[in-house]
Amino acid sequence: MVEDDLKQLLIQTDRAAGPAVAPRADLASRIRHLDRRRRRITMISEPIALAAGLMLAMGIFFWTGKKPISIAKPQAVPPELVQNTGIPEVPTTTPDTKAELAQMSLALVQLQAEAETQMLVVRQLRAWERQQARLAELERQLAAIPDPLEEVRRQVEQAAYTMVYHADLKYNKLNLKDSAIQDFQRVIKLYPQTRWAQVAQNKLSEIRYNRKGALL
Amino acid sequence: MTSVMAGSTIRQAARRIRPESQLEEQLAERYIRGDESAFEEIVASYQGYVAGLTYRLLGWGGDVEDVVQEVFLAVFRNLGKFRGDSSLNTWLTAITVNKCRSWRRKHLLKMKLLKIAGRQKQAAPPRSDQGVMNRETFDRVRRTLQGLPGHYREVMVLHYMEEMPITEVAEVLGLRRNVVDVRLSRARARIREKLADLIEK
Repeated sequence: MVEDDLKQLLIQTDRAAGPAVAPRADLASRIRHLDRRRRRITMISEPIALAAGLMLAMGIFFWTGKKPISIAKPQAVPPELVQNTGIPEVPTTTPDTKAELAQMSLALVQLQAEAETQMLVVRQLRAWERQQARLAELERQLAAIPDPLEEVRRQVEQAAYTMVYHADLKYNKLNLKDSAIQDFQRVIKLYPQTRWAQVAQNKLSEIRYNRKGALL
Repeated sequence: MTSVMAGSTIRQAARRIRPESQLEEQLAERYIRGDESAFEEIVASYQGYVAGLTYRLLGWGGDVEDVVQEVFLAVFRNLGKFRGDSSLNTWLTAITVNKCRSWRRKHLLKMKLLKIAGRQKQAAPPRSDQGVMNRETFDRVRRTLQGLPGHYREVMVLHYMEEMPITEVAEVLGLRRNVVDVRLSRARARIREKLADLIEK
């Protein structure tokens, strides 16, 4: 009953959600167009990606290979050599350079923080995927365990068959006819739902028929 | 497995008699022989079904149009390889399920990043007449279904909403019947936990 109620609830919710999307008359032609476009993009993007990769590698190579610009502290000029030309002293670093360096440091810190966040999410996603894979594996193992009811049915059939086989052997080969008849009757009593019960019944009918014929 | 195989044999026998399944086979055969209009007919016949299934598998949300396009693009590229081992409907269902999984995987990362950035999208309201169900109930059921793991949601949608027998669900998902039974029972338990009061009503 609960399953029916659950089904009804889902169906009602589905109806409440309404239709998915309006059908498009031109979907087939859009698909063909999309297929052509993606094939073209794939053909073009591979060499572009290769070229971009090469340029990036070269850029990194040159950037790391460059020597750092050292801003040397200018030597102090002896006062006797300074002529009164009014040339002002050169400062060690300009305000623009300081500001630029500060901006670059800030940008670097921000990039690092973003990269760490994204890496964290990627790690979580991978952990989740591993968990899902493990769950799927456990479910497969669970499904591989044979159904106990099925196993019991199979064993019942096997037992009924064995009994019928031995009864038949007793009747035909060992001449233990009374014992065989009892065994056939036991199969019908103990295993009525199996097909061997029907076989035992047929055997008993055959025996009775033969005996009647012998009496006549 | 035996029951799935038996089911397949019965389906194959039924297909010889059912006119719709013969039509499906003819469509694929026509396409293989070079009749481009067969693809148009497949799109026209199955567009509604694929869109509806996608909508349900994505929990009555998501980019249904995008996924439908991806499904039919996959059909367009692989129809020549369709050999009729299963019905066209089953094949399309399997493709739709796979494309929905890909969409969810791709958007899981995006959703997590948006959540971190505090810019999560608000759920869209129900589109139909609210007399069928009130907004709060709809939102609860939708959130519950969206909160189910993907593989549980798939079996719930295919079995209860698409009304597929378990053997067919197993065939579509490429699983054994026992596994489908286990997933259905666990999905039901989870839904009952969250929506016991609604189910009893």
